[in-house]
Amino acid sequence: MNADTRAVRPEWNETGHPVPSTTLTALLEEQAAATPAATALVFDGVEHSYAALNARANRLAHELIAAGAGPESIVAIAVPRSVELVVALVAVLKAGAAYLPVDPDYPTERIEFMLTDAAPLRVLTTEALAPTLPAVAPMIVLDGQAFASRPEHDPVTALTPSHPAYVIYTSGSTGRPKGVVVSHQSIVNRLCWGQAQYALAGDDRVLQKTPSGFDVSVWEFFWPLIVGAALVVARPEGHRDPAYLAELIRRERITTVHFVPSMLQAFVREPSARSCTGLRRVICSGEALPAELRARFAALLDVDLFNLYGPTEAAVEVTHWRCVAESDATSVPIGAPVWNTTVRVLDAELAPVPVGVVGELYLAGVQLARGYLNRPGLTAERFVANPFEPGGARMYRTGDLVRWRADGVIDYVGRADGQVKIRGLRVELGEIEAVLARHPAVAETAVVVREDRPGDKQLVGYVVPAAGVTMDESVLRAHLATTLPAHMVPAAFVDMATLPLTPNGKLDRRALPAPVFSGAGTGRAPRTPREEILCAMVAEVLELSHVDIDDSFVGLGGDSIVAMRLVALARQSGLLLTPGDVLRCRTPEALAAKAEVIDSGATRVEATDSGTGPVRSVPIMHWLRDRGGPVDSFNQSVLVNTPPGLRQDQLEAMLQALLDTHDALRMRVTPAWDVEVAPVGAVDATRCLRRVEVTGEDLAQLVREHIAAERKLLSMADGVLVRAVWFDAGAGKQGRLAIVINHMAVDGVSWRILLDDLAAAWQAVSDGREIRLAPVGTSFRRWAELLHQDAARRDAELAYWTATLSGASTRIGRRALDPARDVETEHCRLTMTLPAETTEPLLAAVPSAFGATVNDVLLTGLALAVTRWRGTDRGAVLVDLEGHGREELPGRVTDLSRTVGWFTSLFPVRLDAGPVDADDLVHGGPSVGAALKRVKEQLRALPDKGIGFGSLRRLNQETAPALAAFGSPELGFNYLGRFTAGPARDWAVAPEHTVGLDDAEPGMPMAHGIEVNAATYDTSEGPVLTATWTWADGVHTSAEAEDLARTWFQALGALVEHAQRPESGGLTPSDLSLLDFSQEELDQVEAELGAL
Amino acid sequence: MTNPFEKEDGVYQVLVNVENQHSLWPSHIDVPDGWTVAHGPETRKSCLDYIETNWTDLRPASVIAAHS
Repeated sequence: MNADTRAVRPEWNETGHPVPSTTLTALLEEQAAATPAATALVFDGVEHSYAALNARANRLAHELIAAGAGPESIVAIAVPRSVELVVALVAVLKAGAAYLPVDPDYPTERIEFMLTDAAPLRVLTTEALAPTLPAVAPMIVLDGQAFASRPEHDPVTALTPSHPAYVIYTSGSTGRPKGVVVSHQSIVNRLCWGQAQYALAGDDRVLQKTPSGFDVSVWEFFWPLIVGAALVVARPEGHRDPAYLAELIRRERITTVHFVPSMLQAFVREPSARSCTGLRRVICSGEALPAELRARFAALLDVDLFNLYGPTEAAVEVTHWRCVAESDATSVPIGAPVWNTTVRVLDAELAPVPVGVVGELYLAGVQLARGYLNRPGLTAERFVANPFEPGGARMYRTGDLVRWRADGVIDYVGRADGQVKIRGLRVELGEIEAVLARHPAVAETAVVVREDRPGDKQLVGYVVPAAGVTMDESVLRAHLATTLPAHMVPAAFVDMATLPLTPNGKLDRRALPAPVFSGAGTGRAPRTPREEILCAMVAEVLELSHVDIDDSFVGLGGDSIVAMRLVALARQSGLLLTPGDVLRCRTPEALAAKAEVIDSGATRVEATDSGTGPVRSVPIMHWLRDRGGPVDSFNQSVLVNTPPGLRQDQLEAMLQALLDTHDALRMRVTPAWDVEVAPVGAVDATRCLRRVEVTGEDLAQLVREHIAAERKLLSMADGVLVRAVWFDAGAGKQGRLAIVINHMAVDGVSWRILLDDLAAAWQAVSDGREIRLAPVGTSFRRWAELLHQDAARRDAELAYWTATLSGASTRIGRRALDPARDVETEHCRLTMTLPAETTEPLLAAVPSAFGATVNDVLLTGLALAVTRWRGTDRGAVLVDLEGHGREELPGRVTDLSRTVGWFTSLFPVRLDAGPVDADDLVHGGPSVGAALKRVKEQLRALPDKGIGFGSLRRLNQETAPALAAFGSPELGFNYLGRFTAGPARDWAVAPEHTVGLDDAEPGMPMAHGIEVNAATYDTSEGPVLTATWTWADGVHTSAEAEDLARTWFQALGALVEHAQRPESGGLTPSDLSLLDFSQEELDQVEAELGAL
Repeated sequence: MTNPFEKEDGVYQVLVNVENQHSLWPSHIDVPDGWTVAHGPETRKSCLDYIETNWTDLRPASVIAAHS
């Protein structure tokens, strides 16, 4: 960048705009007079006019004035969402006083602190709540009281724009919440700017769902009421229920909604959200808005989405951004300042930093709060003298790390201190630590936010117990709950001997271990048989010794694939759940409440789901057909241990059960690629199985030969998709079973289902019972039909995929792939294995440190390696990526947890690792960490995990030609996950044959110029990553392919090394601006530190 | 540290503006226009103690004047 483009331009802060010198009270009264008959307020289906609301509020205001309320006095309001709440808010403003919202759900101790600290003149509340509130100030009970003796006209007070309108408490780092005092002129500026920006009209309806203790509620309440629009108040608790909100938005014709991004995430997952087409605008603020979520929302609804930012200390929001698709963005910017507001990005010496450099954000202008109630010292630390404006101006130091973009908008990067957001709620870790430290059993403590699984931010408390005391999590939890709101109580506690320190004596946050939920026995034990079953099953699928009812499935390492296994197990126990239920409910306790009992085979998925008959081709089948060439022996194969004493008739019965249960195994594919599933019983197991006696030969060699021979027997047209060979070592000895299946009928997840079924069938056989495998949920046939229906609704994604494929990327091979010449051979193939000492941290420590998945890490390594390999220092890499494809379809209830078939999704991803320092690739320097963060975000931006691409590319006739024109990416990648191999366990994968996945038939045209298939296998040394590279001779030389294979492993090693680096206190923006280093690269590192 | 206001061992001043608003201020940075030094250079704690003792009414001076 040259100096010109790095300069922060003065016009970015030229926000001066005339705003009337008035009060919120006056604006409310003017509107009530202008549109008395219009609907002001809707609650519980009942509408209230402006005139009625104004009259009620006036009577209460006169009552308050009689009690002494007026400018500079405070009136607390402890009322759940209701008409009374809105009346009370307006009444307090009319009386000239400032309102203090008190969330009735807060612990008594915290309410008592707030009321004592703020010393309100009165507390307005309800009959039900009054007895629960501390008797600190006189109360006025609102329900049933009309204050009929008070007049209905607007009261006259001495209120001016400089007087406070409200006092809102936020978390304080020293253990005391602090009350932010905001004046009328500040909030009037925010509301007038918002009206000019978004132009709410008389027919607009704004949803009020934010609890009144959070400042976003201020505009929700008052914006509609000063412009003649309607305020629709959600029922208490309703703000947490996406299905209720979607229903309310539709029923009440709501046009304007605010979401904290984590709630928007839940909302877009709600199937009925799609029907909220009456929305005109959705406003986000409160925490970083991920680009992926923006994309998901854009795919769901054609509604403007805005991202706003601001602390309570500056009248709700001070910057704004209208969301647009930005192909390379990882998060949505917070935008540009609102009217009469300036923003500065400063270094540690209060000097402005250039564009692109991270600094702390300072705010100035009319929206700044007066300060913290009764906290002069704290106010003087945060609201400080402003060196950029004359006349004794102040600026507020936000503690947020941001950077200017070259186009004059601001990117949010992270926090400079311990303040974090949990589901959009502001939390000072110091406050939790301070309360925790007060407990006599606690000697030392640290509280951090962990995101060990992406999207799952949890508070974790690390506790060094006092001498001679054992940590009791339930005691600590109870202690915190008496003082702190629920969102500030950690999800997990970890017992520590000492807290890890960095060399310079600071808490080493990176060295804090992830909480181990299992075995600790600190959670709650199951109370019902159903909870007991679910705890046992969660423990089983996650391979843990112990799980409690409040343990989080996701927090314990569960993901969508494991969720499907859990669902399958649950069905076998007669409990009906969907994978979505598992990921949403998370705890065995919640799952037990959610699960339905299966009665007589009825399921929640459609009842009329027959899996037999013609099947529509899914995108991956089209892909295979479009490749051309022979596909009969395109297969996957597995070798498993068989128990001693197994008889042929038993094995045949077991295989028959598999063939009858799983439709895909009875598929037939005509030469014209018509696919059909034959009826149950049509495929005879005795004709699929061959028995081979083994007596001490080289088993691996024997297996290889037999699998190769069986492959040749597969025939799609004849419906021969499954072949099995039993290597019988004789009675009393463990044997082996090889199963070879045409890829058309299976995928990686299918094998796990089939192997589980083999084990279950054997259990039945050896118990002398009839084999009864658990029923299958959604059939493959039904899924294929739903996918075709879904394809018609994915048009909105076309732009995303077009952008992915059309962006600049350098050709990596010598020439394009030629289907006539470049066919699968045995020669251009290289298998490499990454040792256990690197694989182990690669699978655990690296993903955990970055909140990433193993796939994210492997693909980052690949992007780094390709960049390095082709001798450039940056640039995007286009990769054809395989996914398991078993995703939820919007608006459909499907259960694929027990469905065998080829579900694989294949879609292009554009990976840009950013600038890579060659040295970092060797030593695990910062740019590899930055690369991981970038690639992770790029993968998160995929709409619906990429499942839509195949539909648009292969099924939707209108969009297919446009996407086909781009051709396929040159590089293919597939990670098949981890396969546990043990020599002992029956029906587990045996060591002589790695799982033979995507075994192409020689002569098949290649799909990519070069591709890698990788999987992890457990060995006696630990897990090892095995990568098989195949390439087209002439597109790449063997030496080039080997070089890329090695560079990839080197990059993976660098990522491991990087994650092990002790970070000593973190970089600061001033460090960044001094180093002669690519800035963007360091900013990313800073983002990671800031997020801790 | 990304800002100059939180150094426990730093040298600070207390600045005051026409509205009697107080600001903690690092001594080594020029005093901004419209602010005067009311205390310091001193330790951070001394400055905060000064503010707690002397700035007892957080209302801007103009608001106090209009009120009385």
